[in-house]
Amino acid sequence: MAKVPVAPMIDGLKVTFDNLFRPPTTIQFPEERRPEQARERGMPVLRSFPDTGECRCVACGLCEVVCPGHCLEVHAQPEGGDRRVRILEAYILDASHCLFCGYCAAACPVEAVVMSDIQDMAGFSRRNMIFDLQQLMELGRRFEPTYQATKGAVEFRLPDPDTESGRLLENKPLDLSEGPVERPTPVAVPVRSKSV
Amino acid sequence: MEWYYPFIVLAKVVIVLIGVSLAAYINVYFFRKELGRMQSRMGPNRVGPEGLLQSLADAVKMLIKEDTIPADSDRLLFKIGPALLIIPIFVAFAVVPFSNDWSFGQTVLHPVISNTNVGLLIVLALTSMGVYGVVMGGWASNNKYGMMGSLRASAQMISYEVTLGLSVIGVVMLAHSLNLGDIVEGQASGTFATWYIVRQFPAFIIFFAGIMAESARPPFDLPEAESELVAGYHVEYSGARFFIYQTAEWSAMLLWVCVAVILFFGGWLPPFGALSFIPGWLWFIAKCYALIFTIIWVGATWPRIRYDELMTLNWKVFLPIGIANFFIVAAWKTIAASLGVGV
Repeated sequence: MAKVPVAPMIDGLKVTFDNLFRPPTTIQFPEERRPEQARERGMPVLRSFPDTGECRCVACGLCEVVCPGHCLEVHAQPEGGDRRVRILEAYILDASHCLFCGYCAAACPVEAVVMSDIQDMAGFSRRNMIFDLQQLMELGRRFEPTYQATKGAVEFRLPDPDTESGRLLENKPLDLSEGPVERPTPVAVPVRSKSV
Repeated sequence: MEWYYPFIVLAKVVIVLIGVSLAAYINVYFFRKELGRMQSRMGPNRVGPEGLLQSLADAVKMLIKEDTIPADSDRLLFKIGPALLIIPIFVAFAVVPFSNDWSFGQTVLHPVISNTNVGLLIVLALTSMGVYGVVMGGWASNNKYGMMGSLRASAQMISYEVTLGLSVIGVVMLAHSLNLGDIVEGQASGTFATWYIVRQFPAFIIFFAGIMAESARPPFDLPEAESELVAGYHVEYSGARFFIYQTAEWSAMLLWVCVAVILFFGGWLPPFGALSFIPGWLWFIAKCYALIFTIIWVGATWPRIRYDELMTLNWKVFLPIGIANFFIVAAWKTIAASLGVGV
């Protein structure tokens, strides 16, 4: 007669029966959400000065340059023929290609572009994905309290070799007692010659 | 015979048809909910309160969908396949007693459509016809998955029918009857100690595996193994015909569970005499759902067995046990009869 593994089969039944009385791990997304992490990044928004309401953006165009998806457009106008003074004319974000990578916020010299917590961006038209200056500033005004609260945590930073934690991550000194690292000797691989 | 007798039979037929169809859909909901919870999911919870109307929504969706027939299929066989599967199963419910007799004054109502003497035989005969619907559906689809599914289904169902039939012989010998009502009454003694699951436990294991193989529940779901055969024999079916196949599968499971409760769990009998104030039909339903729970539980736990393991299990494990059980019961009855002891 064939062997039937009875004991493991009964163990499996116990596992599924216990699961029956365990609360499900599902989070019913639109109604329930996981608590947001401080490091989460949503779409970029523009901050403005609270007293005057002017946008902090100085129209340097660095964000447009670093944007890997080419979704930012910064249009600036030289004021009064002086090319050194730039006035922000239009700021357009096409969020349909935005990666939420945060390069724009990292590049911004005046903390005007920041990564917000806005992630629910579904719309019925692609037109809904394109944000202009006024919309981005309005979103930035709404995000300002959250930005002030989570400012340090959302900073986008590479490991710093001068601090202990950065050294642990990146520049761990080689332990010389382990001896030289063995590397495999290169082997000649036959290469198929290109026949012309 | 009273003049209203045909109307009572007609009413019983209608009630059983509606009840079985409804129970099939409740079972689908029960199945999805229990499976979900066992996998740490929620199961259906969007349509209606707690997702109770999910089965109804699925049924409506399937019925209003386009009913496609593949171009190179055998159209006649394709159309009669689902009917051949569902008709024998619904007919077989005619001999299943759902409760003990109800008496209204002088009148006694039997909660069974046809109280025939060969009820168990009729159930076995009709359910073995269901395999034709499966084979026809898979063959007529002109689809390799459908055909492989139907080949597997035919081999599996016919193999497991052998041991299934063998396992009930012990019960029939103990009960001295093929009438399902008499088999239940043969287990009556006030406690669950005389239920045939106690005296015929190996036979019950074989029967239980047999009903899971017959209704293609995991771990015996090779005819419709999703990961291998997409959907098996009904891969080309859609719309109302697919709906009929699904209904037939769930009704077949319900039928087998009812028969298992009657044969091994004392049907409508309470487990203790003190609990006899609960009506019999409630006991019957409770036992049925306990068995359905177990079938889903096993299906949620054990992986699908390989085809050679399926055949090995049937022919090398269940068949010898079944034959040994048959001879042991026969010898026991002969010895008891010669000693003048009732069994």
